[in-house]
Amino acid sequence: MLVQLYIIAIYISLLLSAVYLAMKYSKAETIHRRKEAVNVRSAATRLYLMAKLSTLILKKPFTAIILLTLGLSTAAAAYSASSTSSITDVTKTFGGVGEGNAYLVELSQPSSVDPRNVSAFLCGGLSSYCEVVPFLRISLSEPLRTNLSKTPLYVLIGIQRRYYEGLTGFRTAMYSAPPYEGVMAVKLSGAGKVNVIKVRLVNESFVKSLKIYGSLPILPVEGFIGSEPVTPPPKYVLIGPLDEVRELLGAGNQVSDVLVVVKDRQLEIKNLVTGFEAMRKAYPVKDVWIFREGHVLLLTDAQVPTPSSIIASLITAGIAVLLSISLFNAAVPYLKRIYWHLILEGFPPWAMSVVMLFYVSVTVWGVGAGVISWSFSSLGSVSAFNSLITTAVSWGFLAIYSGKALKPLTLKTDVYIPPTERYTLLTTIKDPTRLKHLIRASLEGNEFFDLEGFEHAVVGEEVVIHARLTYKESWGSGLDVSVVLTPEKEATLVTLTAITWGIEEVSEAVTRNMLGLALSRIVGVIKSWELMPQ
Amino acid sequence: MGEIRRSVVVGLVSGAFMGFIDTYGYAVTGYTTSELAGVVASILVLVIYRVIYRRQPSIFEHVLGVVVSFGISLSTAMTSGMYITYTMLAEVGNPSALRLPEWLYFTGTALSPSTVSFYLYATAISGAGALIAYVFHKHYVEIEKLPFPIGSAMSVMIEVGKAIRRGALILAVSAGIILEFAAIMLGNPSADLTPSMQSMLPGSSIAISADVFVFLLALLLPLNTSLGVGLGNVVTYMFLTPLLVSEGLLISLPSMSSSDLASAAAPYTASMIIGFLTVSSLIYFYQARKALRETLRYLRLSRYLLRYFTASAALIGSAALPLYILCRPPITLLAILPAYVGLQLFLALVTIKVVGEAGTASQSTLPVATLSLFASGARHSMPYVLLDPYTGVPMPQFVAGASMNAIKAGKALDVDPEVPTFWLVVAMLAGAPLTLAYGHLLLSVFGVSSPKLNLLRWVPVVTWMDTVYRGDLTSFNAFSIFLGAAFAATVFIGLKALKLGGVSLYAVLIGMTLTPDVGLLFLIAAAVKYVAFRAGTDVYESLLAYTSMALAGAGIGVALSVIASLLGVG
Repeated sequence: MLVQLYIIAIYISLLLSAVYLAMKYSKAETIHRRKEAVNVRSAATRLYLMAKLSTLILKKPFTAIILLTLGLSTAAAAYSASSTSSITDVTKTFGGVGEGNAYLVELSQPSSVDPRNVSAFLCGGLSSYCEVVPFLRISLSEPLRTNLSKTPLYVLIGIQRRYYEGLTGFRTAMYSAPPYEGVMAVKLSGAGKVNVIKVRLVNESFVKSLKIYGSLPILPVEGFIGSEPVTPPPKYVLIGPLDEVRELLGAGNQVSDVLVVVKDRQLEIKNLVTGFEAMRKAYPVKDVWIFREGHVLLLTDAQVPTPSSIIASLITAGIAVLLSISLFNAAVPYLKRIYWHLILEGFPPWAMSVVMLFYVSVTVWGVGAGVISWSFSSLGSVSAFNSLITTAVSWGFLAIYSGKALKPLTLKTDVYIPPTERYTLLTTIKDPTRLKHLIRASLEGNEFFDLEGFEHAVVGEEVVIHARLTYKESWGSGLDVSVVLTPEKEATLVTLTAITWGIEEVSEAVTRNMLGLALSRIVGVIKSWELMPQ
Repeated sequence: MGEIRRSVVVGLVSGAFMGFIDTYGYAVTGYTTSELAGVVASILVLVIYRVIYRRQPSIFEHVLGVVVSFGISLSTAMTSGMYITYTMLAEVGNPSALRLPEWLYFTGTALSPSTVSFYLYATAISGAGALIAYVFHKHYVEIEKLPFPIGSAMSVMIEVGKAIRRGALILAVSAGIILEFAAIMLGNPSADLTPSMQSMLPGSSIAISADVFVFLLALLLPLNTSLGVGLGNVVTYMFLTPLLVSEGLLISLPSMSSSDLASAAAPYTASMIIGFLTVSSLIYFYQARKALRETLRYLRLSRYLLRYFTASAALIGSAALPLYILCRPPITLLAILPAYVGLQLFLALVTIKVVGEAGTASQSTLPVATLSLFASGARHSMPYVLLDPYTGVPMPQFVAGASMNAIKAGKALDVDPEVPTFWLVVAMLAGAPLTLAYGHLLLSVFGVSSPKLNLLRWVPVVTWMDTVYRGDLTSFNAFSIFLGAAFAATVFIGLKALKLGGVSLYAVLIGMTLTPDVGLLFLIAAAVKYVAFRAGTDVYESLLAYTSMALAGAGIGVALSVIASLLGVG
C-alpha cells in the first residue's frame, strides 16, 4: 500500500508539473508567428538530363546486343550448376548417442506417407533389417483447451504405440499438469469439437527427458540460443500413442517424422545421399538425422554448389564481360562525343560516371534479375546462385571498365582561394552606421539567400551585427553571419565570421558554395562602395 | 489557448489510433515501430485536423499535435509492450521461480490498481529521458550538430508536406501504403542463401529482404550512417558469427535460415554489443571531451537546467524504495545503486548520440545495464523489472532518444524545445493508462492462445530473459564481450586508415543488432543517396522529402494491415 501511494504520488506530481510547464511555454509560443510558406524547388535539371542521357544510351542497338550476351551467359551459368546435399556433424549439440545405428527422417509438413516406403528409399535392400517407427509432431496454430488447467495445448506428439510404451512405460497419453501423478479423464476442446481421453499426469522434467533417439529431444526444436536447442515448455505438450493423437486431430494416417532403426549396429547404409535425393522427389522431406558410431550427422535439403559449379559461373561471367566490353568499346567514341557536347552546355563532369553506373546497373541487373528469377523457379536455388555470381561479377567488371573508359575530366583553376569561415578587411569607410546599411542592403537584395533575421548592437565604439540567411537552393540550409565593425584611426576593421548549418546533411561542395557566396557578397559590396568616388 | 486546445484534441485522436496500432503490432510481431510514430503522425495529424476544423493547421499547431500523438505512441513501449512481454514470460517460464509478481502480467482478470499504478509509475520514470534530452539538446543539436534523421523527417513532413503539390504528396504516400500493405499481406520478397552458406562458412549469413520500412528508413539516414549500418551488419554475419561457431558457442545447421541464425546468436550479439559499446563510448567521450566539458560547465552554471537534470536523476533513483520494499535486494546491488543511476544517465547520453546519427537506437545500447545489474548480484525478476531499461519497464534512454527527435523537429520549425519536451511527457503520462488498457484488451480478447498472438513465437526471446533472471552465468559470454571490444577497436583504426571518418562507430553498432537480411538494404540505400547527393541539393532534398512521405505512408500501411488482420483478412 505504501509503495502504491509512493508511486502514484510520483506519477501525479510529474504529470501536473509537466502540464503546467507545457502550458506555460506553449502560451508564449502561440504569440510567436512563423513563416508558413516554403519554397519547394521542383526543378531537378541535372537529374532530368542524366535520365535523358541514360535513356538515349539504353535505346541504342549495341545495348540490345549486350543484353542478349548477358542473358545467354547468365542462363548458361544457371544450366551448368551442380550441387550436393550437405551433411553436418552436430554431435557437439546432440551428443551422447551411444552405439546406436538409426536414421530420423523429418518431413517439412505432416503428410500421408507410408513409413515403410521411407525406409525402402533410405535403406534399399537392407529394409528388412530395419525397424520403422512413425511419429506425428504438430504445433497447433489454434491450441486445444483442457478442463485440467488454464494452460492450452500447443503441441501434440503421437508416437507409434509400441515405441511409446517402451519409451515411457505408459499405455495412456501423458500430460504435464498438477498434481503430476495418477491417470485422469481429460476433456479437450478446440477446432469445434470436444474429445475426452485418459491421460497420465507427469512431471515436466519427465517430458523434457524424453528423446526420440540418442539425445535428440522428442519436443520439437523451436530455435536455438547459442548452441542450445529451445523447445516448448512441457505444459503445452500432450504426448500419446500415434493412433490416439491422429484421432484427436483427425489426421488420418499422417506422419511428420519416421525413425528407421537398423537392428544390426554393424550394418552401414550405402548411397545414403542418393537415397535421400530420391526420397526428396517423392516426399516433402526436410532433413535426415543420422545416428551412427557415436556421431550425430544432419543431412539436409540445403543444396551446396560444387566447386566446379562455381568455376563454371565464373567462366561464363568472364565470357560475358569480354563480349560486353568489346561491344561497349565500339560505342565509346560516340559516348565521348555526347559527353563533350554536354560539358560545353554545363553538364557536370562527374555526371557521366553516374550515367554509366546507372546504365551498367540497369542492363546487367535488369537481365540478371529476370534470369535469376526464372532459374530460381524452374531450376532451383543453386542455379539461381550461379546466375547471381555471373551477374554480380559481370556488373563489377563492366562498371569499373565503363567508369575508366569515360573517366571524367579533372577541373583545375589557376587561382584557387578556398572559401573561409572568417574574413577580415580594412575599409576606409569610417561611419559604422553606413557600413551597417551597406551590409544589410547586400544581404537583402540577394539572389542566393533569404534574409531571415538581421540584428545589431553597439558595444562601446564597436558595432556587432548578426544576420541569419537561408539558402534559396534548398529549404533547410543556411548561414549565420556575424560581423564586428571596429573603428581604427583612419579606417574600420571589418571582421566577418560565417557558420553554415543544415537541417539535413549538406555536402561539402554546397557548404563551400554558401560560404563563398555570402562572404564575397558582403566583401564585394564594401569594397565597391569604397572604390566609388566620394 | 484555442490553438493549444485544437492541437491537443487532434493529437489525442491520432495518438489513440496509433497507440492501438503499435500495441497490436508489438503483440503480433514482437517489434515496436513507436520510435517512428512521429513521422506517421505528421500526416495523420494534418488529415485529422483538416477533417475536424476544415482548415490547415499552423506550424505550431501541427508540431504540437504530432508531439502529443508521438508521446501516446511511445508510451506503448513501457505499458502494453512490457505487459504483453511479461505475460509471455509468465506463460513460458515459471513465475514463482522467477518471483514474477502477478500484478505485472495478464492473469485473465480485470486490470488491478497495482498493475495500473506500477505501469504509470514506470512511464513516469521513463519521462526522465525527456528531461535529460532537454538538458542536453543544445549540446547535441547545436554543438555536435547531429542530424537526428527521424526528427528531420518529421520537420520535412510538417513543413514541406503542406507546400508540395497535392498530386505528388498523394503519390508518395500511396506508394508507401501500397508497398507496405502488400509486403505484410503477401510477405516481403526475399532471398536467403544462409542454408547453403553453412557448409561453406558455418555461421555466416547472406540474405536480402525487400523490407519497405527498413529501406525507407535507410534512405532517410545520412549517407555515412547508412554505409556504417550496412558494413556493421555484413561484417557481423560474415566474420563475427562464424567466429562464434568456431568457438563452439553458436550452432550452425544447414537447415537454419537467416532469422534462425540471428535469434540463436542474439545472446552473444548482446554480449558483443557490451564490448563494442564500451570501447566506442570511451572513444566518443574522449573525442568530445572539450565540448562535453563546456556543456557540463554550462549545466553547473545554469540553475534551471541543473534542476531538470537533478529531477531526472531523482526520478530514476526513486525506484530504489519500491525495490527495497518489494524484494529486499542483495547488499551489493544496494551499494552500486548510486553508480547505477549514473550509468543510466550515461547510457541516456550515448543513446541520444546513437539516435542523432542513426535515427533510432532501438535497444542497442542497453545490454550494458542488464550486465551491470547481473554482475551486482541482482537475481529474480523484480530488480530487472524496476531498474533494467533492456528487460524491465522504465526506459529513460529510449524516451531520451525519441524526445531529442521531437526537439530537433521543433527547432527546425522554430518551435522552442520546451514545447515538444513537456508535451511529450504529458502525452506519455496521459496516454499510459489508455495504451495499458489496449494491451489488456488485446490479451482479454485473444488470450495468449490465439493464432494472432502465437505464444511459441516468443519462446526464444523470453527464454533469454528467463536465464538472466535466474542468474544463469551463461547469459553473458566473456569471449563475445571481448570480440565486440576488439571489433570496435578494429573498426575505429580501419576507418581512420581508410579516411572514412564520417562513418560512425555507433552506426556500425546498429548494424550489429539488425537481422542479416536488411544489411544489404542499407548499402543499396547508401549508393542511392550518393548518386542523389552528387546530382545536386535539390535532388537530394527531394529524395528526403518523398522518402519521408513514403515512410509515413508505410506507417499507414501497417495500420491498414492491422485493421485487415482484426477483420480476419490475411
